[in-house]
Amino acid sequence: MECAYCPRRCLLQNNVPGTCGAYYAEQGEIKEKYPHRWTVMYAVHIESVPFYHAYPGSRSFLFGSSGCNLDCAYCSNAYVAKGDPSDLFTFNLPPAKLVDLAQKTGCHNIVFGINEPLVSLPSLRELAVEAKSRNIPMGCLTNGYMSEESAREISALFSFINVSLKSLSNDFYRDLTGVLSVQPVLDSIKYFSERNHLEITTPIIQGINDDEIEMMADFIAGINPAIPWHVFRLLPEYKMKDHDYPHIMHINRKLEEVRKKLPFIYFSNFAGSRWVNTLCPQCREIVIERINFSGCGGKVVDYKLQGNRCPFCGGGVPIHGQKVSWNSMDEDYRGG
Amino acid sequence: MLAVLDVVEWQTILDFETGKETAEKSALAAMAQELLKRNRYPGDMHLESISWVTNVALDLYRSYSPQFMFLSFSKPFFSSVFEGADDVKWQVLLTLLFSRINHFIETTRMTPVVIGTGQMVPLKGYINLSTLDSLACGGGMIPRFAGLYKPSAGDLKLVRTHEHIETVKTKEEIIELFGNNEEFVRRLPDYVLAAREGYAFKTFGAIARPVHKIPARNMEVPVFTPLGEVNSITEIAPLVLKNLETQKVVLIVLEGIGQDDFLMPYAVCSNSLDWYDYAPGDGQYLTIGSGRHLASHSYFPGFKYYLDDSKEKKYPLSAYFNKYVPIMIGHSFKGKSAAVGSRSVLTHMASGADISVECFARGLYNYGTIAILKDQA
Repeated sequence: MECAYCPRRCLLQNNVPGTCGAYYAEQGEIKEKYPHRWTVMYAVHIESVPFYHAYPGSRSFLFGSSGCNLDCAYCSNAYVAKGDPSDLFTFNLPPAKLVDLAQKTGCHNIVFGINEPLVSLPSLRELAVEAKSRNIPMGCLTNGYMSEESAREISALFSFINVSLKSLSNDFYRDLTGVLSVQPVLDSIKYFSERNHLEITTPIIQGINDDEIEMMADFIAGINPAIPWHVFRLLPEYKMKDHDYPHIMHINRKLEEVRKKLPFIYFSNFAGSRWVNTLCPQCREIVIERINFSGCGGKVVDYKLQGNRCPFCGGGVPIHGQKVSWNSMDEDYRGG
Repeated sequence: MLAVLDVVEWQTILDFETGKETAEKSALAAMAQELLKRNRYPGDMHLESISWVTNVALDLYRSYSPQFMFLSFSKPFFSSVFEGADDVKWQVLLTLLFSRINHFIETTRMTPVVIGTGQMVPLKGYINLSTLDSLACGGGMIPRFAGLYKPSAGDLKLVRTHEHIETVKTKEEIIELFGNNEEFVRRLPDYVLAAREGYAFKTFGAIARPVHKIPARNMEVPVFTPLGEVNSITEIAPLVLKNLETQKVVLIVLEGIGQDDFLMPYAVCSNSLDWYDYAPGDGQYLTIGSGRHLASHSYFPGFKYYLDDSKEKKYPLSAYFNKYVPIMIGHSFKGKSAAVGSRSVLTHMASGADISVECFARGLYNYGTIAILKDQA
């Protein structure tokens, strides 16, 4: 039978999975091959996921499974996305147990990252029920390459979503990710933008998609100029690990040209980035100051917004959820 | 303290305590900028990362003329853990490693103290603690120790009877062994577990990358030095300090190298305190660098690594460390000191050197290099 989760529409047979390796057919039903099996669980700053405009300052329970429906030639997490699940799946945790762990580690929210949530959707469906019953918001990172039915489900399960928009070109998706069209990704972005808190991440590969920066900015601004856009200086791995790192000033010059269209552009995936602060779109004062001390993301070091308003000019800055302090949910924190 | 960060073709200078960019400059920072430009880090898994350490060290030796140097080589450890290097590749690695070290010693004529962090053994299996009622945290990249928080009676029964768990100790037993240092005690789990040799814990916080080898239970490690007898890793720092009065000394840490692979004449020294043996990582590095056991400078493995990472945390580029304990050789020695290492964070933490140059790699991703500059008196 045909798999319904993504536009690949793989033909599933008994014990023969599709491209992502996550589903098979059994007695006329699509079955998840590794239900409730997870590879990693960490407590991280939500900014490092990255989400810059959702629950600022919070501690996220970041977890992932294994597998992906794309085959990005530069994938940074190929050891998880493309690795042998038998080497990777360590944790077999039903929803209640995973949410218990999130609470024991003082996390404010739960985020599925590392690999593509589409490959674990039935498990995530059950997990979302459990998290919702305990008022814990859930978010995810996704490549956005999914069927309409899956987009509806992802939208319902996760209140905050970060979609990876790698290019606007079908050629890019065909040559570097193994699928024929970018359109399903664009459709997902539009769908989520109307229903969820949405942020977008674009990995920049020098000489391959840096010329698309202006077009991508136009596309995002056309949907909603308030969408935060994370531009990643990609360090290619997997099949492209010898490719050059993007040149920071070259990329930033291109970003400067489009900051008027999109006020919330962030440029990171390198430590020390000076482009991770949130500026008020009206008065250009720094209203959220962050440092980037590792590769991706970083953390908040100064938060000046009052509600969702700039304290200098009163201008609005869209933030999903409340600012919280890192240890506010940790019963064992004793200071120091 | 200043930090010069080089993320490949772009540099910035940071206030190391806050992690924020600064306009402050110094002659040492200018020297570090040029040095980092000349020496790009090839990556943790590249064999060239060995030569990178000695090339940068020689560069630094010529430009800064330190009397004390600290070098760390992590490539053998990463190869053992993540590649399970075959015999031929391993011999190539060892030959290169020791030839580069000998070249450095011959060129600088510094008196060496070379220590291996201990033997690696094939991973036999994992002890999965995720199904316990309580929270379990592993310590380090491939934890042989884990911490338990508020365990149920069932959890305790399970870990005490687990065939691959060698030791279960209470917090009080750890304090009795290591002493009652307030900072150390504050982050102690309620119970700590030690795995049998060949086994590692899988807990919340564990890495996903497939692992081939892990540190053995190394009660002793190999050490080479013409400076005199070394009975314990805690005797290295005092020995170095004493000899710095009369000569230039280089302390070299070889991660993942035990007695079988130590291609120099060596003696063995203790790498333990009672039942506890140091594995490559923060505790072992800082014990070598300071001459004092774990409780004086770091936490017991299995602490909640995320707890101190609030927005107020100082030294955000130093992993979980939120302060500098000024007890390393570079702090005590008043002459010039420099460190170079392919082990991020621990090179500057364990050396206390005036200038520490290290790779800026996280999770094997190569983000570039960093030079940390101690405030000059």
